[in-house]
Amino acid sequence: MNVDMSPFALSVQLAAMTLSVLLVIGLPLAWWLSMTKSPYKPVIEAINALPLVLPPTVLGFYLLVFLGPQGWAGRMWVSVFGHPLTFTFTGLVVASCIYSLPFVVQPLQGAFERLDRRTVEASLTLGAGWPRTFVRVILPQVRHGLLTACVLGFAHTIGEFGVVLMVGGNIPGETQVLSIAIYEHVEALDYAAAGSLSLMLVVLSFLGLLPLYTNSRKRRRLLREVAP
Amino acid sequence: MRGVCVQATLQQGPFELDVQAGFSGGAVTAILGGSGAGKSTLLRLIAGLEKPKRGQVAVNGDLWVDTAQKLFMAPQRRSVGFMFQDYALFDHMSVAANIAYGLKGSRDVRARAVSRWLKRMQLDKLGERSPKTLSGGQRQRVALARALATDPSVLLMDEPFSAIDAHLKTQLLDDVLEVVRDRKRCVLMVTHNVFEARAIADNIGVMAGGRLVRLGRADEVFDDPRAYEAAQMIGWRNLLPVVWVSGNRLGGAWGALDLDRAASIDAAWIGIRPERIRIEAAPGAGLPSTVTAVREIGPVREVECVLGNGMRLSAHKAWDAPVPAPGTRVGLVLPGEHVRTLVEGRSVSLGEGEIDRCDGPRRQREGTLA
Repeated sequence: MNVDMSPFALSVQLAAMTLSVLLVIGLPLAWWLSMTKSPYKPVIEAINALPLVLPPTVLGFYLLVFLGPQGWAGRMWVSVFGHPLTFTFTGLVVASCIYSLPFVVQPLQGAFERLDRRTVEASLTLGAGWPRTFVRVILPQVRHGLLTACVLGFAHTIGEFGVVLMVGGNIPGETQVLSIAIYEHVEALDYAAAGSLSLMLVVLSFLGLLPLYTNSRKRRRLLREVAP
Repeated sequence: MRGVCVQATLQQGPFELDVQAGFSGGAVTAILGGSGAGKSTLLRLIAGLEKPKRGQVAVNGDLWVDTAQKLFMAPQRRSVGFMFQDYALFDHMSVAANIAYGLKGSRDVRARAVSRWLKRMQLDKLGERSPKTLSGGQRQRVALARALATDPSVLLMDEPFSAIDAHLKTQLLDDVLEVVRDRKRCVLMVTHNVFEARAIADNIGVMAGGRLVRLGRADEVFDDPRAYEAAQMIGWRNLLPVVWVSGNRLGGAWGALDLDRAASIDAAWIGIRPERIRIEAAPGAGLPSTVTAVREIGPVREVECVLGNGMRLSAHKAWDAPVPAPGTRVGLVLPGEHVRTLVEGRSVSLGEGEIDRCDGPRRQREGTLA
């Protein structure tokens, strides 16, 4: 049996890039949501949570319209980069970021809300600036929330199907991620290839979730190294 | 004046803090007040953890905040040591790392400083322990060492002894006094415990409703609270409302009395310490009243009396002095020289432009301690 491994590599690449972008966006957004008393907070929270309840095809449809060459964002993208966003890997990253946003923001927001804010204030009064305070005081306290956000963001992106199909289609080597490839193999009645890829997805998801439920000494040591 | 000058207004929802006062360097000032009086907010304002709506904060002549100039120095740039109510220790670090957190300099310099503070605070053997594993008193000492290790110009302590057992408190008070007295730093300690304030403070400030209603040397404040809210806060129970003032005579529904001086037209209340009240057997002398109860309070006897209009006054007598039995009609004499007139709802305030002279020569003035 000869199984094409490129969908596996593409899925991992997509999940890694999506997670990186989401951490850059999600950390400040989650911090703001946890601290703000703005009257707009519930509106932002509800928008952020939409991907949790909307069917992926509905979200995918709107993203297709929004990011497509006729959509506002798609037109802007074409005018800047000269090619459309839909049915490209970059389009997949953008769509995945929107789809997986709550899976990263919500655990982080919860962790920031549980944070002992007086320790942050203590750090500031002891002369530490915000970067040092974040690394040495905030990060160690929110590490479980951060780990949860990373695992959920990564795993959710790896497993997505509807949004990817709507926005990215099924272009081998470009947008054909693991879940799409499995679907194609099943349609072609190639159950052996579909089974191999499905097993990979199960193993990958399991390995991704394992650190969340492991409380080994080694993990604690690793976390200390990240935030001494 | 070396010390902290605050002339600022801060709004937090319906609560407004409005403080205009100077706190001198080289002295411990206890800020007393009930819940919601604004004590902690004042400390947070000085530390830069709250931004004022308008006003200035100056320390040792340096402006830290001036809303007119849009100047707001970030907390990390201020020389402040802040001891939080339950210490806000970094539980994921060791005791030594907590103390070292704010220190600058090479690794050796920091290690030496940490070792010195551990020894000074009797924490020598606990440097590698997590603060989580320490007792309340030990955690308090770690917090104090951490706040003082950076040698701040201002030490702010927010109810530092509230979580400590009574038997530890004396030792810790001594520790704090020993550490803060040897340097000319300004120490502000928030507390709602009058005895704590009396034990440690050179100066007392009393806050009520977001305003500083009294600020003065501890002995002066306890002798003459000047403000009704301050009198209540320091435990004065003999308070009578004033309805009219005429020369050195004032009165209310409870009767009238003469002072040894002209009574202030602003007087809204009078107050007197219980040990200053004389009990006369003849009801004609002083304010006619009836003894309602006699209680033993430590080395004194408290005689509680009710006046004609139902208001109550308490007099203290030595434990071995004869006291009238409950139900006896007596006269209560309030000697004019010991009666204090009290205003209500007034703030201590600096005059216009006074904050500019905070680094000028020391002098005694309303709201500023020399």
